[in-house]
Amino acid sequence: MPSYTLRYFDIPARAEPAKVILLLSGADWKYEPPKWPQDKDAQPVGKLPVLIESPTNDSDADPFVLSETAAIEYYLATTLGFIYQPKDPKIVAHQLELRSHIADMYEAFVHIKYSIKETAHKNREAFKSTAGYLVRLHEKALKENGSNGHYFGSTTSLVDIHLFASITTMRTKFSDFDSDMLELLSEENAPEINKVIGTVASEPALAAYVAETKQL
Amino acid sequence: MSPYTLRYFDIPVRGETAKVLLLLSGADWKLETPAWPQDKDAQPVGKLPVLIENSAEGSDAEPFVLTETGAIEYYLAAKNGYVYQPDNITLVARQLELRSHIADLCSAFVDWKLCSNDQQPKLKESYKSTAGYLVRLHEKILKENGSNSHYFGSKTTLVDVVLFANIIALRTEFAGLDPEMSQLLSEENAPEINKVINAVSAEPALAAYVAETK
Repeated sequence: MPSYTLRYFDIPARAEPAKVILLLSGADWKYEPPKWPQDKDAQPVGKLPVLIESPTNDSDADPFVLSETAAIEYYLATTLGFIYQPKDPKIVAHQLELRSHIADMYEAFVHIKYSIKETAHKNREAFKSTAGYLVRLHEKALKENGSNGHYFGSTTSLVDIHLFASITTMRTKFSDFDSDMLELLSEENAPEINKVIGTVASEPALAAYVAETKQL
Repeated sequence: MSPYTLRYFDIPVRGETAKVLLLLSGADWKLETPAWPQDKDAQPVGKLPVLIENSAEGSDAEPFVLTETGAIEYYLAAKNGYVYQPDNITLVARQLELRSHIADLCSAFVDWKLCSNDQQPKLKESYKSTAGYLVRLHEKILKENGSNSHYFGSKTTLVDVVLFANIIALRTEFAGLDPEMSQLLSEENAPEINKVINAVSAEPALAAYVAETK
C-alpha cells in the first residue's frame, strides 16, 4: 500500500479537505509543514499544498508528486473511494463544480480577513454575494438528493468533505473575526448545508479531528 | 437546438478554453452573450461561464447545466476525447494540476491588471513569480514528453488547449501594456510552451478562430 505525505503550513486552511479525505480513508499518511520561504523553491510551482504518494516498499518507482488543491482532492477522492460514480463524466464534473463553489466562497472569506481598509467593504459585499448564491443552489441540490446529509448518494463523498472542512475552518480559525458573515451559513439560513456538516462531523474516523477543531 | 450553449461574455478570457474545445470537437454549439448585470441572478451562482448541454430533440430530459471553468473544461474534454488516458487517475490528476497552474497564471494577470496603483508592484511580482515557476515546471514536463509540442502523448489534449487558449488571451490583453511581463512567456524564455501554442494554432478546426485573434 502506498503512503502519503501532505505538505502544508501547520495551520488549518487550504489543505483541510485533503487532510479529512486521508483521515476518513484510514490511509497511512503524515503531515509535513515545510520551512518557509526556504523550501518554497523546492516545491513544483513554489506553492503549497503538495501531495506526495510514496510507492510500496518493494517498488523502484519514483514518488508521485502533485500540486494544486483541486487536483490533490480529485486524486485522493478518486483513489480512496470518495468520488460518487467516478466513471460518469457528468457526475464527476458536477462534483468538481460544487467543490469549486465552496472553494471560491472560502477564498472570498479569506480575502475579507486580509483586506486593507480601502477594499474591506468591497470584499465583504463579494463574500455576501458568493455565499448567497452558493446557499441558494446548494440547498436546492441537497433537497433534490433527499435531504439526507449528503450531496450525492447516501455516503460521504468529496463535496460533503470539502464543505465540512472549509466551513469548519471558517468557523474555528476565524471565529473571532466576522460573525455577521458567518451568519449567512447558519443553520437557520442554510439547514441542508448544516446537515451535511453534522453528518461528516459524526464520522467515527474524524472523532479526534472534530475534538481538536473545537479547541481552536 | 444546438447540443451545447456556452454562456459567456464576448471577450477573450475565462471562457476561451471551453470555446476552443467545442471548436476542436466539431460539436454543434452556440455562444450566448447575456445582458449583464440583468441576467446575473438567472445564473446558477451569479457567475459566468455557464455550459448548457441541451437534451436531444423530442426528449423530456432537463438540460445539463454546469458552472465553474475547471468543471466545464473537464466535462467537455472528457465527453469529446480530449482527456489523455481518462481511466488513469494519476494522469487525469496531473492534467487537472497543470490546467490549474495555467488558470492561476491568468488570475494573477487579471489581479495585476485590475489593481490600484499602490498594489501594482506587489501584484506584478506575484505574476512574475507565478510565471517563473510555471515555465520552470512545464518546460521540463514538455521535454520529458519528447519535445513534440504536446503535454501528453502525441495529439492535442486538454492541457495543450488550456495553454493555447489562455496564453493567446493573455497576449491579446497584454498588447501594449508591459513588455517585461510579456517577455516572461516569449519563445526565448519558454520554447516548449510556444511549440504547444503553435501546434494547437495549426489545428484545421481552429483556422477561423486563430485568424480572428490576430
